[in-house]
Amino acid sequence: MLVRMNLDNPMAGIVKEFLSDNFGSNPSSTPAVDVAEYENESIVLMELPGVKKEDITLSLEDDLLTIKGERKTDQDSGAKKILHREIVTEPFTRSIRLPHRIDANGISAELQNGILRITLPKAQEVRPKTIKIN
Amino acid sequence: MGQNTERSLVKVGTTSLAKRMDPLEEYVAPAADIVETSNAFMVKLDVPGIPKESISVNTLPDRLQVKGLAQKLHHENVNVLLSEIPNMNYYREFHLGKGIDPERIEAYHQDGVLSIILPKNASMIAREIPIK
Repeated sequence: MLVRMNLDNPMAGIVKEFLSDNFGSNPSSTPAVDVAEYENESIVLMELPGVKKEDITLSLEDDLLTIKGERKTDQDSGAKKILHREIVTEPFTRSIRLPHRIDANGISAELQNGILRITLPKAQEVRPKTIKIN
Repeated sequence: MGQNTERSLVKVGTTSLAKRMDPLEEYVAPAADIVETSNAFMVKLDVPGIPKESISVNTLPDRLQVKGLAQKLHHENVNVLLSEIPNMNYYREFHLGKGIDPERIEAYHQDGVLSIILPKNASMIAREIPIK
């Protein structure tokens, strides 16, 4: 059962393939991602409800960001009967190719309310520079 | 056990992908798991990106309603290159049978997950009758 809206925008599919290394993967079995480019950095958002930060690893190689992790299920004691199940708890890996080189020293990430937010500053050479006119 | 469970079953309510509740708002249904223990039902819903203060859980005589208000994901003046996160309000309803005690319903929120515990009332809990 679909619980995510996929964009009806025909460009969305093209942009997604261009940016993601998960060609042909089913979008609803990997966490949803947004990528936004600002003037001096890009921000990657990933929906990871129920995932603890210790169960996520981030790695960066050149302009390819890889996010891997797992949502651990509650180790409840006591018998329970599953009446309805939609939430996916498979381990996930997603690689995102960023639109510019990154200054690795400035990367930061935070996890809040189930959203992982990664800030990736642009490498100095790709930042916009104003050119003085003499 | 089967019959009683059916009457008090927390059934998944309207689950259309984007249910229009009013002309100005659109909703998407959050993914939900429902489990049953000996003395309660538990509903777990994924509501990533919604802070606790933007979530409401309401009970009507026969229904549980969960609503979450979407937050702004991106600032202005930004080039959005990939947009998969729905960024819509969340809404979902669940039918409550007679075996649930509405006053004892509790809700918890952590890591973008809303957990709702619906205790069964005493009549629903199987009791072993000693044979004298």
